[in-house]
Formats: sequence, C-alpha cells, structure tokens
Amino acid sequence: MLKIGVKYCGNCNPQINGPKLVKKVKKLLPDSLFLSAEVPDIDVLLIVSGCPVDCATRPKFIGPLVVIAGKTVDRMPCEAAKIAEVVAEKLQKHDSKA
Amino acid sequence: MLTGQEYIESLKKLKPVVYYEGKKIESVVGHPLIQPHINSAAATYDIAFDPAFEDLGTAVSHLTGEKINRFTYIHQTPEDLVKKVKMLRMIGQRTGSCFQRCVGFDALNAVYSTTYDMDQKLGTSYHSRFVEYLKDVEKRDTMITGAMTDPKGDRGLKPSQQADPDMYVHFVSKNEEGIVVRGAKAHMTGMANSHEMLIMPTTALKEEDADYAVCCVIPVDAPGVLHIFGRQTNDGRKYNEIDQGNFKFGVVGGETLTILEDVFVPWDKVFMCGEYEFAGTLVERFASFHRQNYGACKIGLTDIIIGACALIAEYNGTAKANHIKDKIVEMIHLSETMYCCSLACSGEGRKLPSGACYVDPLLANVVKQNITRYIYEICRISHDIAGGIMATLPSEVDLKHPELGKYVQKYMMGVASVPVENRFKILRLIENMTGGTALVESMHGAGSPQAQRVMLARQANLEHKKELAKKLVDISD
Ligand SMILES: Cc1cc2nc3c(=O)[nH]c(=O)nc-3n(C[C@H](O)[C@H](O)[C@H](O)COP(=O)(O)OP(=O)(O)OC[C@H]3O[C@@H](n4cnc5c(N)ncnc54)[C@H](O)[C@@H]3O)c2cc1C
Ligand code: SF4
Repeated sequence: MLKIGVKYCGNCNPQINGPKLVKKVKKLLPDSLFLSAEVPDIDVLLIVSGCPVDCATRPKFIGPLVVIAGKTVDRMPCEAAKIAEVVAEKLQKHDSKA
Repeated sequence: MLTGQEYIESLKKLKPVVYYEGKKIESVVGHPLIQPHINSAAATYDIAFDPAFEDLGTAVSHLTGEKINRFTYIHQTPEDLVKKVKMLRMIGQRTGSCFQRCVGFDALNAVYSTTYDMDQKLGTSYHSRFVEYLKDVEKRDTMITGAMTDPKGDRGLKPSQQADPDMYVHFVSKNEEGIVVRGAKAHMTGMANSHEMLIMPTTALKEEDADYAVCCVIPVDAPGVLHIFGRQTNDGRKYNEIDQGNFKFGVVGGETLTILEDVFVPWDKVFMCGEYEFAGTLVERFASFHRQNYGACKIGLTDIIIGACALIAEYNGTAKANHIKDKIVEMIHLSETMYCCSLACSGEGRKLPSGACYVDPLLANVVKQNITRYIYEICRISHDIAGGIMATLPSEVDLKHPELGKYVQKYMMGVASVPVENRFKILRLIENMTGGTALVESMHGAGSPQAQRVMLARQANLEHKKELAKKLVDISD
C-alpha cells in the first residue's frame, strides 16, 4: 500500500481548495494511505500549497515529491479540474507494488 | 499546545472580576457578550491542529525545540515574520473579527528583545527571568493581553505631571518579594477571556517618570484587578443572531477598561521596574510589531467584506454593472496594497542583539498609516454597493414575525431566486463589519495616525533626500 505524506501550506490566500483537492485524489487512489507528512516511513510526499508562492515548509524527508502549488503541478500549469487526476497519476508512479 | 476547546475549559478555571453595565458577569464563558470573542480567540488554538493551517499556526521553539503555537513564538528570521502575516490573514478570513491574541504575541516579542538590551547596558537580569516565563507560556499555551495603553488623562502632560498620578500605571512600592502596581489600562482587547496580561509602559519616559517604567505579568483574576467591559455599537443586538452580523465571532476584540488597584506582582513576573530609558524602546518595538499586523488580520477581514459586497451585488441584481465590478476591483487593489506593506516590513526584518527578528519599523508604520485610510475607503465603497437598506433594514424579529414577516419577505426581496433571509444576513454582515466600533479600531488600534507620522519623520532620512535633489542639479554648499 502506497503511503503518501500530505503537507499543506497554511492557506493564507489560496487559489485552490487544497483539502478538497486531496479528498478528490484520495478517491482516485482508494488503496493508498494518506498520512500526515510528519509520519515516518512514508513513500512519497505530497506538498499542497494554495498558490504559486508555494511556501509550505518542507518536512525532513528524503524521497520522491509531488508539489501542487495553486494551479500548477510540479511547476507545470494545470487546468484546475485536472489537478487531482494528474497528481494521482504522478503519485501512483511511486507505488513499487503497483 | 491547547485545542480551542481546551482553551475554553481553561477559562472556566479563572475567576476574573468583570462588569458590564453595572452588573457582574459570573462566567465569561457562555456570556452572550463575551462568547463570540472567546470563539474567535479559540480559532488561534484550533488552527495549530488543522493540517490545512498548522504550517502557519505553529512554529518550533528556539528555546526548547518543541512544536508550539505560533502565538507564543519569538520570531527568528524574516521568514517567520512573513509567516506571522500570512497566519493573521488566514485566521481573519475565518473569524471576520479580531482574534485578540496578536497583542500579547507582539508584547512577548517586544519584551524579549528589550529585556536583552536592557541587561546588556544596565547589568540587570530581566532577560533570563523573561526567558523562564516564556518557556512556561509556550508550554501552557497562554493567552496574554498586550496591555500598553494607559488612560493618559491630560495628553499635554507627562505621567508625573498629571492631576491624578494614576493616569498611567506605576509602581507604588517594592520589597524583597515583588512590587505593587496601581493605575488602569484602557481598550484592553481580549482581556476578559485571557489568562494573563503583560503590562508595558505606554510612552517613552524621562527620569522624573521612572516609577511609570513598569513591565510585568499579572493574572487576569489577581487580587485588586477589576475589568469593565466596554460598550460596542449594536451590542444590544447580541441576543439576536442575524442582526449581529457576525454572531459567531463578534466585532473587534471585546475591550475592557482594566483597573489595577494596588496589585502585587512577584519579582519573577517583573521585567522592568524603573529603567525609564528603555520604555521608549519597548514602546517602539511593540508598536512596530503591532502595526505590522494590521495589513494582515484586516486583510482577512477585507477578504470577507469584498466577498460580501460581491454577494450583495448579486442579491440586489447589480453584479453585472460596470461601476460595481470596478468598485470591487478597487477594494481588492486597496486590500492587497495594505498586505504588500505588511509583507514588505516583514521581508526587510532584521536581527536584534538578542537574536530575535524585528520588522522594519519605517515600513511597519506605513502599514498602519495606510490602514487608517484604506479601510475607511473600502468600507465607504461597501456602503455604496450595499445600498441604504443596509442602514434601515427591519429587524430579524420582524423578518420572522407571524404577521409582519410576510411584508418583510415581500418587500425586502432582491433577485427573486435569492432567499430574503440570505440578503438580510449579508447586509447585516456588511453593516456590522464596516461601521461603528469595527471601523474606529482601524483608526486608533496600534496607535493613532499621528503616532505613525512621528515615526515616519524619525525613520526616513530627510537629509539624504535633500542631498539627492541637490546632487542632481549641481548644488554644492
Ligand atoms: C478597538 C481598539 C482596541 C485596542 N486594543 C488595545 C490593546 O489590546 N492593547 C493596548 O495597549 N491598546 C489597545 N488599544 C489602544 C490604542 O493603541 C489607542 O487607542 C491609541 O494608541 C490611541 O490612544 P487613545 O485612544 O488614548 O487616543 P488619544 O491619545 O486620545 O488620541 C486622540 C487624538 O489626540 C491626539 N493626541 C494624543 N496625545 C497627543 C499629544 N500629546 N499631542 C498631540 N496630539 C495628541 C492623537 O494623535 C489623536 O489624533 C486599542 C484601541 C482600540 C480602538
Ligand atoms: S502557498 Fe500561497 S496560499 Fe499557501 S500560505 Fe503560502 S502564500 Fe498563502
């Protein structure tokens, strides 16, 4: 089971609804475990920043990273309606058992 | 760290003496006048546990390495100052009113660096004492009132020249155990629902006013402390919901006039006692930190006002009019301008000798000066967009009245598909967020406009500007 650590930015002036987006991603990856980014042993870190400033503090973690920052995924612009899909796909790539 | 609910439970254990309209309030928790302010302060606790907000709502203590609520944190870097600004905006968006805790937060930061400087120059030991207190604050997640403003009596006279010596808080005696203070603090935001107050002098002082150089911590329910809860515009509406506008979180911070009638303070809670030459530094640092906030929390509030204006335009059927769209853009522009200043004074933050980080005082004063104007302008535009009905709307009781209700429903309808009650709610929200007590806070909270102008004149190097002009046109003298 893929263990995904989620870290939000703090959402002072977000351009997207981060928590709602993560709910959508969860639905797309029903077999994955979404955990706090502080939990040890996560497989991949999902950063959810509300806007392109992307000021979410990075937890101590060495490993793969997927970054949502406003309407971008890993710095590439992404249509709002497609973010969840794109992110789910990227996260799934890190599931060694998939 | 405490959760919001644990904070509320902790208040139940305190017994502050609070009066309103001559009557003693037996319990601040659950009282209709004070509960909205408690809910608002509780938001500062809850955000520390919400994954969506904790990145702003928490920090790592430089003293213990523990994760703590950011409201008890001493800023170490300009990034910390920026996070503070973002946090205040984010909470403001949730409460739509003052959440009170920033005053004590700023007081902690100002006292931390000032006691350090004081000890360096005077050989006192206030800083280490303060650090011990701070560790305890971090652990207990204390809510502290930042108690600076004195009643001040005749503004043209110094503290010791006043007809009544108690117009400014002063110490009246000291012994081996501690000191005794007397006087009062006015406009005390969140005092009725705080755990403790951090007393600071209100102005720079000279030697003859040394007795007024007092900084100390007092529990809100210490013997000799009495609070008189202030009246607010529309507070008679506290027993209705819709008419209050923001019934969950209230308006501004729920201020008190707090009287200190010979209150004993043990030495371990005293951080200045007679060191008059540092009163000015403490005031300036507290004021600059506090002025930084206004382009943050108030922007959370203007985010709501702008949203409410866009909604009322939809409800009234004016949303497509070009001048309405333009007025909303103007509000956004003013709002983000104020935010820019708060970010700027934070980004230009610098380390003080104590290692703590301090905002740029010139830019922090610009923040607050803008607030005294732009918030008024935003509110003016909101009144324009909302329409006169905002001021003459029938009451919630009439809206729900068995006989009158049908008339109110019929004639208070805007766009037919919008429930009349929704129109009422948004109009009342705008009314209560943009007038009376809420508006005055933007003028005087963190200091009247002239206080900032004095700082601007002092901080901006006018001689340098003159030199620039002369150099450009070859004037040499
Ligand atoms: C809603 C609200 C919440 C507040 N919360 C807090 C709080 O939590 N903690 C806290 O410590 N304070 C708090 N304050 C107090 C705030 O800092 C003061 O209101 C502010 O410093 C102005 O002081 P004042 O109200 O006594 O006005 P005044 O000093 O009476 O000012 C009125 C006018 O007189 C002018 N003036 C005053 N003195 C002089 C002088 N010597 N020479 C020339 N002109 C002068 C001023 O510039 C201003 O134009 C709060 C205020 C408000 C309105
Ligand atoms: S990433 Fe954007 S929305 Fe999130 S805290 Fe930073 S500035 Fe605010």
